[in-house]
Order: sequence, then structure tokens, then C-alpha cells
Amino acid sequence: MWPYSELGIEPTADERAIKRAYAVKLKQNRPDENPEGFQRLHEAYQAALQRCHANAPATPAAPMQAAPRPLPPLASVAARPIEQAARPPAAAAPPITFDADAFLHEAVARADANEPGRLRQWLESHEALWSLSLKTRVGQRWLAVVYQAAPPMPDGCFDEMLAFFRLDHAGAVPDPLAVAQRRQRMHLAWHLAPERRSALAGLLGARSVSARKQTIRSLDWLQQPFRWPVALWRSLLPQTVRTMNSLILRLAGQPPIELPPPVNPRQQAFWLQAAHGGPFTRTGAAIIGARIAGALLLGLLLGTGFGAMAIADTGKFGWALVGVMVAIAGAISAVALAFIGWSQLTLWQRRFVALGGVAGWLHFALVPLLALAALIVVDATDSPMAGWLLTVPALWLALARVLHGRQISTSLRPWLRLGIFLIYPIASLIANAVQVPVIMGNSLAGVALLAWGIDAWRRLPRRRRTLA
Amino acid sequence: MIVGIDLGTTHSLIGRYGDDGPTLFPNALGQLLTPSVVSLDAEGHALVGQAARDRLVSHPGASVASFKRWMGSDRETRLGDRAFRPEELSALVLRALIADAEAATGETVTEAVISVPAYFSDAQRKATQAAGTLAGIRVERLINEPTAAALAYGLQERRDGSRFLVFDLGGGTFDVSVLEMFEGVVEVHASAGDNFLGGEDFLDVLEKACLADLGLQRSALDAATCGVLRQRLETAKRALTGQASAPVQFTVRGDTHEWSIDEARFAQLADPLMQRMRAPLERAMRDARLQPEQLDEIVLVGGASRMPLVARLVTRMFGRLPLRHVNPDQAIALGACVAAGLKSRDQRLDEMVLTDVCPYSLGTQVARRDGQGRMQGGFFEPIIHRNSVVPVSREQSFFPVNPGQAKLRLDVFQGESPMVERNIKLGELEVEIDPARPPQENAVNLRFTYDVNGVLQVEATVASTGKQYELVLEQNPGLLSVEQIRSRLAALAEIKIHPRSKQENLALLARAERIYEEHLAMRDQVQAWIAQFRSVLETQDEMVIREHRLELGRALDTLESN
Repeated sequence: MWPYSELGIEPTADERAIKRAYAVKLKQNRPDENPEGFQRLHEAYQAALQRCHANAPATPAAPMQAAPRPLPPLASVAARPIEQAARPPAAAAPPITFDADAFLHEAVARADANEPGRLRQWLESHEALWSLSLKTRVGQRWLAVVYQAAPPMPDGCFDEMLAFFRLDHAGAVPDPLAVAQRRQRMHLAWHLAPERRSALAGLLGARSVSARKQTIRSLDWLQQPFRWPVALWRSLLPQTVRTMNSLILRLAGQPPIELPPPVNPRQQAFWLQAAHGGPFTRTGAAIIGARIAGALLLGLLLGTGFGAMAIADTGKFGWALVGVMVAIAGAISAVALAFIGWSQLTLWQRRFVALGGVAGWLHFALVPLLALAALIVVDATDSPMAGWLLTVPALWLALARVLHGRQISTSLRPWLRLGIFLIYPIASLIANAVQVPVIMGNSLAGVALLAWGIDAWRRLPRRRRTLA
Repeated sequence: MIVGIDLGTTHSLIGRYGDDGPTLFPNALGQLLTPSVVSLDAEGHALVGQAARDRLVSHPGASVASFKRWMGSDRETRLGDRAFRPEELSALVLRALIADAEAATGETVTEAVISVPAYFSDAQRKATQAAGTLAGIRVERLINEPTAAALAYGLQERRDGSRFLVFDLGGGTFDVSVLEMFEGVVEVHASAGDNFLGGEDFLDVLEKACLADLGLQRSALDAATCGVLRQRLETAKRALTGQASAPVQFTVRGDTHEWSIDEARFAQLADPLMQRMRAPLERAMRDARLQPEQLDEIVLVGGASRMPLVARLVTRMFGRLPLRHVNPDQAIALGACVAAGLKSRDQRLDEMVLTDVCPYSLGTQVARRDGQGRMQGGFFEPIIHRNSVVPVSREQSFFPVNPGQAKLRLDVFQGESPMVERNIKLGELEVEIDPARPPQENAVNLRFTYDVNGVLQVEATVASTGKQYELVLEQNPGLLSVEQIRSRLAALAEIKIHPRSKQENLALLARAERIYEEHLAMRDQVQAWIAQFRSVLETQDEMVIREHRLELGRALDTLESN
């Protein structure tokens, strides 16, 4: 039975017998003469010893039991000069008890100053921790604190703590990735502390006073308790959602980790959902609903306001006035709704949607569909306005795709945006002035189709490959 | 004849395993310890040992010490008009030692076992072997210094079944090994160390404090004064082992400076060094999976371990007193002699087998998957763990990160950090894999084989195709190739070491010259003595020379004791 057969003995729990057998076999399998045989023998020897220790936990050879928690007070090793009979013996130091938890607590408090060098000096100055056995136990305790509590600590000081307890090398901790993540988390938690918010804003690149103020406010929002009405109110403007999203991503990385306290995880989840979730998630739907309601309310308020002003002016109340009021409210709401719709559309277009399924094909063929719709509408209604409404988004999306090449984007340079909006009216004006029939709607839709075609041609082989 | 050599930073010794166990050979001056110092005289002849050490003061530009610290590097030292690599300087020391051994036995030395710090890197070991070649001997086996000390200790004690820790603080290196001895087996459990920590560093600390206290700039002192100061500080450091405080007195351009150091101040100055010593001790104990109570003994070797600070360190860390049965200066050399005896398969030693460990971790770079399924790269995955018993061969499987990956790059790293960026890259291997297979079924088996001589062989096998890739890592930057060694050997052969018969006279002259530099008051007198002794040497009359030599030696003794 392996490992005993390799050693040439019967299974035994006698450590001496195992060692004796190993010694005998070793002389026939010297490491420099028979490397393979030696390695086999040595592995068997180690395994046999391990079994022997596992079977006899009471033997003095295996006192490496897990440290009891909480740590019992330990008598320190008094440093006494040795082998100097000629010298007067130093006064015997009184036995010191060592409170590991208080020590670690103070270490965390000292690390707050972010001075790794001074922290190291402080750690090294602990007389009791010269003792190997005590230090090992305190080190294990520290690791438990890191795993369980992850208190805020700047990474430089974290590294000093690990180095002091010799936990900073391969094999010292079972899962280096977990420790690396804790380190990042603890570092973030330290940065996020309220008193360092202003410094953090500076680190995040907020140079001007107003930018700094805004970042500090955003950080403050992240740490507040989560309430739907407040959150929805804040997310009314798409700009705010974008700012919050980029702030979270800068802190938490891409893809984001869960930010440590004092950040409220619900706040983090809300803002990330708001930016990336799309209209079909709870958060996304709620935000769109809030925005629509907001737009309608705004239109209603303004319409009523104008109406009230007109009544005050003329002193008369007439149905015509009500009609104007409703028209103004409707127009304002429509503009706001168009913006909401447009922002949702670009968000959707920006996301990667795999081909296949109705949603996939719709995502892929949105531009030609819009262009075709524009052509049909212009043809059927002879209304250049309706055509313009449909052509502009098609042209915008197609140009953005073509110009951005590989990455999927919907953003355009400002002069191009302006151009897209203005080319239709300007061209119509010119056409009217010179009395030349120019079919603007058709030709612009054609440009959009062409741009989309180029982009699709470029992308399709890649898509096909990923599909395969 | 196979000899055992301790090639130390400050002192070197030579011996062999003879009829009554290991025996060390004295040098021409009758001492067992030969200072590892090389000096070149006006005729281009090399001086090694005490004479060269004295010439550090009188001829600092033509003398060099502590070159063991530069082994394995490209650093060259100019002596006179020739530049020397550390291997060559070591080779000169080896040649002097070999001459001593040959004079003592009348046999020719053909081969040697040389001791090196356990924590010496591959490059440093190869450089030591090259030094042997340059000195004209074969050096097949190197022995780790703590292991050597344990061999000497174990043989002396003949204690069976004991575990102990060897604490080796030499002039320039610090080494810790945890060993076990039973049934004629010497098994190293773990080694750790610091290649740049030794007695010399304690001297540096003292020098810095002394100059700062006296308001002197080191750059303002000439090399000779520095040499004097260092020797005075060395004396004071040694004095502190027996007394509570030690005075230091030296002269700079006619001004006499006085300084004194006491135990408490020295302990305070040396604290950063003591802190550095904690790491290897803690590491070795952890790697050996032993508790301090499980050690039977803690053995101190190396000259610098005589400092009371060191004994206190051990007491603080292990909660017990260290033992010092062996002469700390000779233990390693005696152990090297035992190893030489083992190498020549000496009948009296046949019952002993030594197993050692690889002090570094060797592994590759991997990406790890975190809780959210993301891959994070740059992690070090050890394949041969630090302090594995050598020879060792281990295999581990690795998988591509992405589907459709056609190549897998396997880096070979050495080091202890869990992140590869802080470890040393030794090489890389690119393996072609089948991109059509899913990653989890596309294993590449990576095998690391590390032999007794420290050569690492890396082998990768693609599991699906059985195709093999291989990488042998022997070459290190900063090392001499075989041809380079050959050409250097010829060049080095031109440098003659003074014959042993002359060495006593040369050492005395060097000493007189050093004293001339140190003692301003008696300069004229010493100069007259030197001139007189030189003229006596020219008579080549052995009788007269010996008479004068004894007389001058006595005169210098009186002068120095005042």
C-alpha cells in the first residue's frame, strides 16, 4: 500500500520506523544519482509522515493547530542578554499580555494617515511580536480581519501590513486574487471616507471649483440612503445619469466591482442600471416614466402659465385661448418626448445586440427601415416636414456608425449634427429660390442608406465569424 | 585531492577530510583564516590575505575586499592598470588557498567543494564555479553554507533525530536553514536568506553614525583614512561583545578625533538591520512547517553571529537561547571538508546522504477568475514551490483564457511575490494549441524539472496533440561563457602570487606600511624600519631575514599595543 510500499515497510504510525526505512532506501536512491527514484521515494516519505501525524494529533510533532479565537493573552518573551556572565543581568521585564485585536485596531487607525514608512516603524517597534509563534497567530488574525471586515486602509499601508506578517509572497495566502481584491476594496473605502471626499474629487480629475463641487455632490449622493422619489427626481436629466455612471466606473473599474461602504450598494446599482439597463428594466422603465411625466407636467405648466397671462392681459376667457394653451402644452411635451425617445434610441443602438430574433434584426436594420419609412412618408403625404423628421435620425445613426469604424457609437461632432439638422431646410430654401426641383428627402435618405451599407459591409464578415 | 573551501566575504578557509575527520590547513602566516582581500603590488604580483588586508590602508587603490558581494554581476574593479571581475578576484584567493593546502599535504589539489550562501542565486553559483575554473580546479559541487555548518555540527555532536536551525551571519551574507538529521540523513527543510546583509553592514552603520557625530563627510576623507577608520570600528565592534562600550580614535589631517560607542546606541543603530533579519527567519520557520518549540537547537555560525545583538535576536524570536558549540568561524569550512569527503566517497562517510532544497519559487504567469467571472491577469503560479527538496519535477495543467485562442504563452518566473511584475522573468515558451477546442478541454501540461546543480528544464505538452516544447534555462546574464573563461584563464595566469616562502616577509612589510599610515607620531621611526627591513631582504640571507623579521614584528607589536 502506497506510500509504505515505496519505503518497503508495512503501514505504520511509528515516525521513527518511517524515517529509518527512508534512510535505508535513500542510500540506494541518492538525489544526485537517481533523481526520479529519489523524488518518488521522497514523496512517499512525506506522505507517510503526514499520515502518521494526522493519525496521532496528540504527538508533540503536530502542535500546529489553528490559533484559538479570540487570541488568549500571551506572556511575551522577555529579552535578556545571554551568555554574559560578566555582565549584570538586566532587570527582568514584567510579563506583557498582548491583545491582538486592540493591536490590529490601532494599526488600522494609524494606517489612516497613509504613511507606510511610519506604520512599518510602529509595527516593528512591538517587542512582543518578535516572538515567532505569537506573530504567526496575529498574522492569521489579520488575514481574517481582511477577509471578514475589510476595514478602510490605503494600499501602501496594506502592503506594509502584509509584508510585516510575511503574507506578501506566493503561497502565503491560499487565494492571492481574493487578497488583491480586498486590497483594492479597502483602498477605495479609505478614499471614500467623508473627510477625504474633496481630495478624491481632485484625484478623479475635477480641476475647477464647480467640477469639484459637482463630484463631491455626486459622491455624497452615492452614500445616501436610497429612496425612489429622490433617485427618480435626480435622474430626470440624462446628463446627471451619465455623470454618475462615469464616476462609478472610474471608482469601481470596468466591469465594476461593488464599491465598499460608505457607498450604498443600492445607489450604485440604481445609477448603473439607469445608464446601462435600457427601457425594459425596472429602473429604466421607472426613469422613462418619470421623464415622460415630467415632460407632460412641464408642458401643462407652461401652457397654463401662458394661458393665465393671456387671460390677465385681455381680461377675457375664450375657447380659442384654451386651444392655444393645449397646443403649447402639447408642443413642449412633444419636444421633451422626442428627446427622451431619441436618447433611448441611441442608447439601444449603442449596445451590442447579436443578430437573430426580431430585436436583433431590428437593431441591425434600423437605419434602412427609417430611410425607407421617410421615402414612403414623403411620397405618400408630400410633406417634407415628416420626411425630415425621419431622415435626420437615419442619417445621424448611419454617419455615426461609418465614422466611428469598429466601435459602435452614436455620437457625432457638433458641426455634423448641426449640418444634418440644417441641410434639409437650407437645401429646400435654395431649391425654392432657384426654382430647381430637388428631391431632398430622397437623396438624403439615399445618403443614409449608402453609409449604412458601407458600415454593414465592413461589419458583416466579423459578425459572421462570431456567429460561427 | 578534493578539498573543501569556505570562500567567505571577509575570510576564507581550506581543508580536507582526513584520517581524523575534517582538517583545516594554515596559511603561510600560520593562520587558518585568510582574509579575502586581494592587492596588486608595483610589479603586478598579487598579494592575498593579511598582507593585502594591511595594504587596504596603505595602498587603497591597488587593494580590494568584500568582492563576494559582487559575484554574479558584471562589476569590475581596477587594481593598478588592470580590471578584475569578481570571479577573477575570487580565483586569486582560491589560488592562494590551494597553495596553502598543497604546502600542507604535498599533494596536488584537483577538485574542490566550495560553500556558498544558501540564498545565492543561480548566477552567483555559476560565478563561484567559474572562479574555481579560473583557479585551475574542478568545482562540480557547491554546498550551501548553513548545510555545511550543520554537517560539521552534526558530525561533532553525533546526535540522532534532531531538528535544528542554522543561523549563519557572515561578513556579507545572511542565511538561515532548518535541518533535520537522522540515520545518516541530513535533510534540509527550508532555507532563506539575504544576500546583502552581513557584518560589513553593521560596520557601515557604525561608520555613518561616527562620521555624522563628528561632523565629517565621508567624501572629504582620503581612502587611507577610511581604511584606518573601518579597522578601528571593526575593533570596537568586536570589543562590544565583551564590554559595554568601546572607544574609537583616529586622525584626519593631523586632527585627532575621538568617538565611543556603547551597547544601547549600537543596538539602536543596528535596529534596521535586525528588522531585516526577521524576514528570513520567519520565512524559513514557516516553510519548514515547524513551531519554535519543535526545534532541538539553534546553532549560530559566521563571525558576525558573535555580536550579542544576534543572540538577543534569537532569544526574542524563539524564546530560548541559541547554542554555539562550533567555532563560528570554522564551522562552514569544516562542513565543506565533510562534503568534500562525501564527494570523494570517503569510506568513513559513506553512511551519509544529504538532501537540499531549492530556495526560490519557480512558476508561471496565470490569469485568475474572480467571483464575477472576470479574468484578471498577472498572477504568479508557483510550480516548484520554494524550499522543495531537489531534484524535483512537477507538472501542472494550464488552459487558454479565451475561446478560439491559437497560442498560449507560458512565461517562466522566479520569485516570491504573488504578482509576476515583482518577480524575475527567466524565459518564455510559446505553444500552439487547437483553436477549435473549448478552453476547458484544451490543456497544456507544463513540467518544471530542477536538478541538483540548479538547472531548470521547462517542458510543455499539448494534451490534445501530444506535441512537446522545451526550454532549458542555464544561461544567465552577467555570466562568463566557456570561451570567455578560457581567455580569462590565460590572462589571469600571468598574474603571479608571491611564493609562500616570501609571504611572511611581505605581510610584515604590509603591516609596517599600514602602521606608517595610521601612526602619525611614529612615522619617521616606522619608515626607517621599513627601509632597513627592505635592505635586509635584499641580502637574501634567510637567517638574517628571520632574525630581523622577528625583531620588527615585536617592535610593531609594541607600537600597536600602545
